[in-house]
Formats: sequence, structure tokens, C-alpha cells
Amino acid sequence: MQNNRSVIFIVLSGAVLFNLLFWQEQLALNALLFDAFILGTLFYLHPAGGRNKTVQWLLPLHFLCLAMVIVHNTLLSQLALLTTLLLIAAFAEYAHRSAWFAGNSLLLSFILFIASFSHQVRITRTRERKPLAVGKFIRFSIIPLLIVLAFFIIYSLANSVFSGMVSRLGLQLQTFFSHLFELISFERILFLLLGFYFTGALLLRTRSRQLEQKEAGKTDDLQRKRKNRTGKTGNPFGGLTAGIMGRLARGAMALKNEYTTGLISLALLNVLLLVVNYIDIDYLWLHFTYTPDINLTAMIHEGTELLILSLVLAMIVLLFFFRGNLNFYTRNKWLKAGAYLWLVQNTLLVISVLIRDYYYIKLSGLAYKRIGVLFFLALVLFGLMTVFFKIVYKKTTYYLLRVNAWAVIFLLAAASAVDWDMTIARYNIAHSNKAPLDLPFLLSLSPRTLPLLEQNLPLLQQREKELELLGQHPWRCAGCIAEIISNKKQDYLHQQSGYSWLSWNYADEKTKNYFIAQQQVPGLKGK
Amino acid sequence: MTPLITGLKLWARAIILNAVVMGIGFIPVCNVFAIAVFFAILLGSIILTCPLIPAIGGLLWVYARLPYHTTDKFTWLLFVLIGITAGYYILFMYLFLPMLPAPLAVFIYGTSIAVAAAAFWTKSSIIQLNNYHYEQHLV
Repeated sequence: MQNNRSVIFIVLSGAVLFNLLFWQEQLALNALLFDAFILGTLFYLHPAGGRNKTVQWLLPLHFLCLAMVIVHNTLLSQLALLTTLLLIAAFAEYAHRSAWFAGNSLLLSFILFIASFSHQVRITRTRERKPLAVGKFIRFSIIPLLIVLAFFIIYSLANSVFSGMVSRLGLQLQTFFSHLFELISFERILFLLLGFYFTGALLLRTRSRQLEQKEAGKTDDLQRKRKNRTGKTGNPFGGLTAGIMGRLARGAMALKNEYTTGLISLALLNVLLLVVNYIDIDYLWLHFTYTPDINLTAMIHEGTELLILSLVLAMIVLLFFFRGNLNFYTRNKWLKAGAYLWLVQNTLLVISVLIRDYYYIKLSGLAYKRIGVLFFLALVLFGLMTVFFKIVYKKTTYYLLRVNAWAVIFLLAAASAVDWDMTIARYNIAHSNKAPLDLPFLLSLSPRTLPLLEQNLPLLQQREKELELLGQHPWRCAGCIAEIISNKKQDYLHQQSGYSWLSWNYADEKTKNYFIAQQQVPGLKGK
Repeated sequence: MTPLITGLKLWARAIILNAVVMGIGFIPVCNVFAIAVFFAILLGSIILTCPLIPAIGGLLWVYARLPYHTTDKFTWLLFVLIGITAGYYILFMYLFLPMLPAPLAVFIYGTSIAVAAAAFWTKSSIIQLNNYHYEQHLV
């Protein structure tokens, strides 16, 4: 850490910069400027952070997210940018390997920021000069002030001349403060404080090393633990098995008994899943034909949600049985075989969910949740793969959580590279002959899809008529989709006119240029 | 010396100071009846804010364990206490009142000042708690 005076100066500068860049602006080009400041000062304050391998490979990922914020400016890209920035700060400041621990350390930085900043200020003050007797002055003045205030109020109520004097003085003060608040708004001061807190918490590390020490004790490879006299291995699940199995969980045969329980459980679960998979393969994979009497929404929504839950539970079950010494049990061949079969069957289940999602997209079009399911399934597949590695190579739960956290972060960054709103709108319009358009959903997408909607207005109007003939009214007025789009366009342009160059991004620029080219926006050229 | 006892002391002082500040504030409206307002606020505060006692106790427990100098820890404690009080105020009013009252900011400022003053008033006990914890973990 650099000298304390420069730390204070950097944090205060960051607060001012945050205020100048983000006040009443959207996260766009300003993110690039603030990012340059944060990364520059971060590596200046924590020079070792720049040499950290994790930071080195996180940086390109972060720059990708930054580029996507400037190009697409989606909420997802902004979220990915913030996540990668927080992780870079955490890995630069703390000695961690896992994103979980790094995240927790950064959370601690945010919680303890005031103490960390006070530490810097105190050290600077004690080095430079003796503290002023301000504290002493405040202490001496509190009680007299309270007493004077009480009597001041009583006298002003009792004496009309004094009351007049007071009200004139009050009026003068009111005018002064109203002028002052016109210049500096209260909201802006709060925003400045937010910037101060955010910058400071991001740049200053806490003095606590507890989490670093805790992670230093964690390894990727599982080690055999000898039980102590009470039969405890220190595993949180240990107490649970001992509680359920009673004396069977203790003594020389404890491991064998646990093995038998695991084997029976996995055998039963495999049989159960085999039945479910057989039904899915027969009905969904091979013989599914859509007929209008099938409630597709119920089948896919409920089915998918429950299957996702079962996939997560499946991983927890395997983690439970392979949490400790069963990994080292010499006769665990059948238990491992049962686990591998269970993993294969769960992979089939993933494919079944994927097929359900495919039918849903094919018959109802794209939507956020349907895309979310695809990403979730990708993560589950990766998770199942890592569970397989964990069993084969005797890895720890720490390894599993660490690797899967990186998969989530990588996928988040990759997903930010796509403008999903535009993709959804384009796909749904292109496939409107197969999947009927959901007009309210289409109009709820980002305003950047408005040019596309406007270009396909006849198609949308036709769908609106179809819905009205069916007795469904998506909005209060009849046949007014063009008006709704036009109003949304005006709102969007009005909102955009309030932003400066700091909010510049390619997606908005393109949309605005489209409207200008159509000469539908008088007065926008001046911006 | 336990965090809960120190927390109780801090809480009691905060509600007394808050009632005094509010009582003074009500003199122009209620004249001599401001004394009744003082007691009403005192009683109301005891009932409404008693769930905060364990929270303050927990906060002091954390305070004693933070790896910082006493001054830094105290600054942190002040900040979190004010944050909790303001948060509790807003949450309570949001849950139980049909709409947030107009002078909400005045209430929050007043209570924040009272909490800060109570923390300074209890500072010696808080530091004593800190020293006690430090000595306990010296061995």
C-alpha cells in the first residue's frame, strides 16, 4: 500500500470523478473513464495485484465486458462489467484463488470501509500534526447548546418582539439556504457520498486476514481424515449422518455402513431416474407431436423448473456421499459405478429439459427465461462434469465450488457479448408464422428494438387485429400499436436528450441516427 | 462487561436523548405539554426500538473483534449505528404507515444525532469492552 496521504487523495478524487461522470447519466462511455481511473489507482496502490495470474486473465474478460457496455449497453453487460471489476479489485488486494472467498473479502471491504478509511486518516494526522481540539470543543458545547435551545424557544414564544426578530432572522437564513441548495442539491451530495463509499471500498483493503488464512488451508485434492475419538471429522454433514444412523455411524464398521447406505441410495435413485428418463425418451425425444390440447406452458414451465431442482439436488446427493473418506474406501467400486451411472442419467435429463426448452422456443418464440434455461443447462452440464472429475480424481468440494464459480463468471461475460433484446425481437419477428407474436412482451423490450418494430409495423398490426378478433385486448385502446410505438419512441428520445457525451454508446447512437434519418425527430440534431 | 450490557446502555441513552431532542422540538407546538410529549416519545421509543437491542449487542460483539485501532472501530460503529437507525426508521414507517410522513428526514436527522451523541456518551464503556476482549485474547 502506498503512503496514506496519497490514498486519501485518490479516494476523494475518485468520489469527485464518480460524481462528475455518472450524475444523471447512464453507464456507457463514462464507464471507460472511471474504469481507467480505478484500474490505474488499484495497481498503483497494490502493485503486487498486477502480477497476480488471476487478475491477468480477468483483465481481458473485463475489457470485453467494457467493450460490450459501449457497443450494446445492455443491463447484462453492465452487470458483467461490475462483476469483473469487483473481482479484479478483490484478487489484486487479497491472496485468494476462489471467486467465493474473493467475493467475501470484497464484501468485508465494503462493510468495513469506514474503519479502513478512518485508519488512513488517523495515521496521516498523527504523522503530520497533533489533532485539533475540535472533539473537545464539540463535547463542551452539546449540553449548553441544548439548554440554550430550549430557553430560546420558550423566550421566542413568550416575547413577541423577540419572536419578530427571530422570524426575520429565520427568513434571511431560509433565503440563504434555498439559494445554496439551488447550487448544490442534496441528492447530488448523497451521490457524492455514494461515489466516495464505492471508490474507497473498492480501493482500500481491510486489515482482516481471516478469509485469506482460511482459504490458504483449503486444497483442491481430498485428503483422508482420521476420525477423532468422538467420531467427528470436522465435516458439517458428519453430525447429520451420526444423528440418523446412530451407533452404525461409529466404530470400526462406520465407513462400511456409510458405503452400504450410499450404495442403496444410489441404486434406488438410478432406478427411479431410469423410469423418468425412459418416459422422457419415449414421449419427448422420439414421439412428441404438438397438438393444441397439450398445455405446453404447464408442461414446460413446471416440468423444467422441477427438473432443474432435481439436477441441483442430484449434485448435492453425490457431494454428500463423496464428501470424505468413502473416496478412499478400497471397495467403493460399485458406489463409484452407481455415481457415474447417476451422472450419465442426469445428463440425459439435461437433454430432456433442453428438448422441452427447444419446443417452447419453437412454438412460443424466444424470451428471457427460455434463454436463461439454456445458460443454466450449460452450467449444469459443466457442474456434472466437474462432479465426475471430483469423484475420479478425489477432489474437494472447495475445488468444485471454485471451478464452477469461474464457469458462471465466464458465462456471464460471454452472455454479455450478445444484445439479447435485439436477438429476441429479430427471432420472434422472423418466426412469427410458426410462433405467434406476444405483442406486450415485444413492446416491453429495450427501446433500441423500436426501429425493428417500426420496420415490421404491418406484421404487428396484423397480429393486433388477430388478437382483437379473438377477444383479447393487449392494451386499452383498439388498433393503436403504431401510436404506442410512436409514444415509446418519443419517450426514448426525450430521455436520450437529457444525456451528455458521457452516456455515448454505439447502440443508442445507431437508434438515434435511424430516427434522425427518418426526419421524425425535430431538434435532435443539436444534441 | 458484555456486548449486550454495553448495547443496552447505549440503546437506553439513545432513546433518552432522542426524547429530549424531540421534546424540545415540540415546545413551539405544545408549550408546557411538550413534557407529556417527551414521556410519550420515551415510552413509544422503548416499545418500538427494543428489537434493536440484540442488533446493537451483535454490532458491539463484532466491534470488539475488528482488527483496527479503537478510534477507527469507533468511527465504524458510529456509521453503522446511524445506518441501522435510519434503516429501521424507514422500514418501520414503510411497513406500518400508509405513506411516509413528510418530515421523515427531520426525524432521521434528529434520531441520528441522538444516536451519535449516545455513542459518545457510552464511549468509555465501549472502549472498556474493547480492552476486555483484547485482554481475554492475549493469552
